[in-house]
Amino acid sequence: MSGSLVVGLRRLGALLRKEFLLLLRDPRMRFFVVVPPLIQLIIFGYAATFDVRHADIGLVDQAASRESRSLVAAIHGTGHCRLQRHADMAAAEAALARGRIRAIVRFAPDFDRTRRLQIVVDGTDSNSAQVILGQLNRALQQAAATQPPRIELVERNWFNPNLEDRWYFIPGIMANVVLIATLILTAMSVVRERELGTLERLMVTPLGRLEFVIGKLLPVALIGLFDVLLIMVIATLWFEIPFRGSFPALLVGSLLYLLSSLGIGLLISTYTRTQQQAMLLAFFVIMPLVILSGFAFPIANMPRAVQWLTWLDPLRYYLVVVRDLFLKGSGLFDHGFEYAMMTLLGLASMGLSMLRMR
Amino acid sequence: MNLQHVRAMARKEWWHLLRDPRSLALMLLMPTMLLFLFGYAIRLDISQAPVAALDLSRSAESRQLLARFDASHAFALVRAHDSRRALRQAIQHGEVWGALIVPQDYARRLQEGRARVQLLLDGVDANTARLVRNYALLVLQALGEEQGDVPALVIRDRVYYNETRESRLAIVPGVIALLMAVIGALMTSLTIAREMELGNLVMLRTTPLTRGEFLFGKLVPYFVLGMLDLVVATAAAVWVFDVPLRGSLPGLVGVSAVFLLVVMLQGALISILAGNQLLASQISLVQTFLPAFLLSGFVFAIENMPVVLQYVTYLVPARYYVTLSKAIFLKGLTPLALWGVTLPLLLMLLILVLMVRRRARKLGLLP
Repeated sequence: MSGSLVVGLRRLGALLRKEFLLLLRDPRMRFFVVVPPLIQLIIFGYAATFDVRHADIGLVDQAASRESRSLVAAIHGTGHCRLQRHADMAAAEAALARGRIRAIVRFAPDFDRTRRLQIVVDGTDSNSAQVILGQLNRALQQAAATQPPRIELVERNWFNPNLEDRWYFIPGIMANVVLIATLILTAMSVVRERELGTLERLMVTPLGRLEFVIGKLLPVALIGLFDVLLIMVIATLWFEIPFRGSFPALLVGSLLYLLSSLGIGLLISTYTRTQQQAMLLAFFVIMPLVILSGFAFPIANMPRAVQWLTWLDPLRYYLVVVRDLFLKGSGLFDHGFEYAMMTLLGLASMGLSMLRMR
Repeated sequence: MNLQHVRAMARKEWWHLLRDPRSLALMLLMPTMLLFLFGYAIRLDISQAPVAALDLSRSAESRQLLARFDASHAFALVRAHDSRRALRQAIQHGEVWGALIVPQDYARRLQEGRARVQLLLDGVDANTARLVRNYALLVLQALGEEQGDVPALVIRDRVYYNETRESRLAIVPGVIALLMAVIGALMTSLTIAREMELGNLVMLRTTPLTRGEFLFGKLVPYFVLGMLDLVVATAAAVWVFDVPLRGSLPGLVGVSAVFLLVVMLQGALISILAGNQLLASQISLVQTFLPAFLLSGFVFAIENMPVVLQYVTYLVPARYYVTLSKAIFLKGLTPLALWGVTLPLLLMLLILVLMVRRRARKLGLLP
């Protein structure tokens, strides 16, 4: 018994060595393990923001009174707006249509008497439209108010006091990068053997099914862990995002998450024969996993039926774990439910693919 | 270029596609799935935000205040927590997005005209926190005015091109760009890399097929598929998602064809450089899909990005296409009116043709 175990481990070792060599021999593949995750991290870190810090605003000031000028100064004072003056509404609307400006603020000639003013925003970017409306509203009302409002709102933002979008997105990128890299690698490296005909060659060796699977998955899992650490280091050192939680919890969560992402990759490989199919199917699966995870778009806003679907998404649970670890400072034992769900999904997909690989 | 050779190559590629119904099904299903996912699952607006309410004042005034929040579609107040400690826990565990605390002296201070309400927000999702805060301000402003605050300004706002303020309208035209980027780049990058990886190219070297004919023949079937996807996506956008097509259909088809060619040539270039499918697919994902998603202005506005990154977006073809698609659908403009956006796309097409021609030497086929 122990003899066969030793033999089994030796075989496994041989396959592992082959897999590692295959993955890392090609300099382009070495590049692939490091560079795409980095590019994703950096682009996301800088590009993904819903907040509006620079908006071009058209101004039509037909009142040209002291009052309107002081309000214009208030808009300027937010520091988020670059103002462009337009002689009349038609000119401003043309600029809006061409995308030169995002919004128009208009003071009618009778502004001083009516105290009415009009704001038009470009609805083709609905998020910016909302944010700009909110900002302009707040700045204008505050500047115009002669006395403090009857009911004042005192607000405090926990975990992310300055409401930095980056703090929200970057832990999420970790989850995305690991998913994309490991799922595709798993699916394609198994299918590749099939497409190139080397799987048949492996079948005549004494290598067992389980050994084959472990030999395929372990290197990919290690690459996944490497990506987690790489992103963790850059997130904390370069983007200066606090990591307040427990590091062991990150390891446990990542391992369980990898279990499910490798499992899904393996499952995809059992449904496909060529790398092209595998890639397509992987993409077909990754997109919903990402969108339904709450990575950029909160789950609570989705229709009820779609919300039910998100329960099947391992990314959803991992996102909760990493965000809480980074920002809320949770501990090793705070995420029992998420751990359990990821384990469940991982075991289910692994088990199913083992059955199908027979 | 011998048309017969091209036709033979294209026919072979068609057979290849048709013989692999799984890939074909995925290519045809993918756009529909993406469209439905984005169209239905993504709401950038909030409604029924779970916010815990803690009423320390327990007065008629405070109850009226909370009733106002209940009445607003933006909030779904949760009254299950009886201490600040419990609130903190609920926010920490993500059960609620924030907490509204009405202090003990609320009623008295409201009489004096200087009441305060505290809003604690879970700042992790910064965008949601901002939206919740804005809605809370609106509720308080309306209530204040009812109680005698004289509004300093009457602001009337309008959202052009999307009067009903549905994020769906703004998102769906952008999704079409995403679809085309995926279908175009992913498909072509895999198909050429496949021939290189399996060694079929070596066999083709003995035939009179030239590089141009090979590439052309390879791309034609995928171009047809991509345009088919465009038709399906546009039909779904108009009839299922009620996105108005205010501009011209021929204009949309025209710029879409140019964009599709651009991303397909990008895919071809990537596959020639990569030489194997795994690498080609990864690069095309990072090179085309991610930029189309992130750097195109599809959901994240370009002007909010750091200046360096804004310059990078000029190299992303999807940037121009997203602008055009939104403008044609929602603003009713023509590609000619937006020549400043159309021209760069055409220029990219030209440059890519030249680059692919240069790099195609590596294929080892006749010139």
